[in-house]
Amino acid sequence: MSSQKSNCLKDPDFQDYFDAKLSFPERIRLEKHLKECGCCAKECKAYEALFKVLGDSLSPIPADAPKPSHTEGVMKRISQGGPPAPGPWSFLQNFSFANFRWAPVAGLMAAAWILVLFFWLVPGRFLKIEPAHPESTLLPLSYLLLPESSAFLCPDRSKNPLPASGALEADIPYQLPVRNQTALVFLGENRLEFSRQAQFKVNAFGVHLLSGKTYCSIKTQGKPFTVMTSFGSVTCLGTRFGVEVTPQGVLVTLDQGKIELKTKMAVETLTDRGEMTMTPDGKLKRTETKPSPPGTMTAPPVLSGETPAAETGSGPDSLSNAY
Amino acid sequence: MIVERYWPKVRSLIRRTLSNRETVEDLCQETFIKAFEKIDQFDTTRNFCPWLLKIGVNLVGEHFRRSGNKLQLVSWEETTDISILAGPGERVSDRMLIDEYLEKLPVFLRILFVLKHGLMLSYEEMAQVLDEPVGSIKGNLNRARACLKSHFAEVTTLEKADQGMKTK
Repeated sequence: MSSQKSNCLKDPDFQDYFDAKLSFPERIRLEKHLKECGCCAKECKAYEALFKVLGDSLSPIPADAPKPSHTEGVMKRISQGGPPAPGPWSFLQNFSFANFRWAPVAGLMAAAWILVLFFWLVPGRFLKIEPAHPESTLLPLSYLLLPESSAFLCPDRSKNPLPASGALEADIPYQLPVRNQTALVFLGENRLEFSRQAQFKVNAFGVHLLSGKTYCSIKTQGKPFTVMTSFGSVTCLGTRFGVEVTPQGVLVTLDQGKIELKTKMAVETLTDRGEMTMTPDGKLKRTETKPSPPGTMTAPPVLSGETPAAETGSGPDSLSNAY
Repeated sequence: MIVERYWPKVRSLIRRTLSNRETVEDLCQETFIKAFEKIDQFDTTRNFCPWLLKIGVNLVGEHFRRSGNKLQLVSWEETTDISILAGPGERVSDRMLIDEYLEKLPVFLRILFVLKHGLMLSYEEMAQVLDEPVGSIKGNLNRARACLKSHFAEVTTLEKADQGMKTK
């Protein structure tokens, strides 16, 4: 039975939801849609009931438990067959370092020499860490490292992309190239993820998100880390949260911890999981979020490539487009 | 200890593929014996259960080959129309519905249901057990579940009828 509305969810969306395969923003979006669409909510309930019955029906039953005769039969067959044939690495079972007392010392010395040669012969191998800005909370603030498979950052379309690691300059807009699905940006033990084509600047206090989405997992080290937008700012007090900039407003989703939202007309602290929207007129609107179903993932998600205007419903639903 | 711990999982998988009880017991025993013989090939960085279940599935495959059949991934589109279930006015239990549906599925698809919902394996572990790409497994399982869901929603089972009576 498929939904009759063209922009509603499809079967794989529900199945991914119950299989805990949706990313955090996708899960939030789906749960928000279920509150608004009775048709999809009914489909979701049907899947929930089905999965429960499948689990109850297909789990091992008491009759599957081994009888003593089963265990004895296996052990008897094994003992009759003798010990397992030695594999190619079976000699390692008899290997003992006690026979080679000098080996650990020699190994440590060899490792030390290798490290010395490595850092002597390959200058600049250590990634440069900029000294922390006195106002900064993140140490180091402007130091970003991308995984090898990730994208380059383009400060300006006319310039060549930057290498995948190194310091970013403050107050210069950066944009992730179109071809990349996701980007992971690390600042020490903190982590920011940007959606495709997100634009942002870095400064002493955090990140200024110009467009697109970011998801932050921040450990406080002194002063709070702030994500600034044109409609207001989100100050993180040790937490995981998402910020999405759209023309209609800025959607802020709190996953864990505490954040403070500030606009030109209001200030509010969010301490429970939920959503708030910063509107262009400076107001803050709150959305209640239901607790996630058991078994859903709680780790920081990886954002899939999406256009910035997808959340407010004015553009195509990215979940259905994903399939 | 390994036999006591994993026998229920191996047996619940194999009994869904074979109807003969003696053959099920024999293949369960054979699975553990083969696991013991090949224990030096086990990668200790991975989970033991999928590796053990893979041995069981291979033994089931050998059993089918000996009887002239072949255990292989059948794509959902090749599966014959699954029309089931209760006739007009007949009420069945949820579990009977599931059992009847699974009986009509090809063995490989049946194994997917057991691995996912009965033994709670991830898609990656299922791919390890079945030596098939995660995408194929997921796509076929999703389509089979969507079909089952549509039948499930249409049929009034005993459980749903009981709930309806309680709310009145």
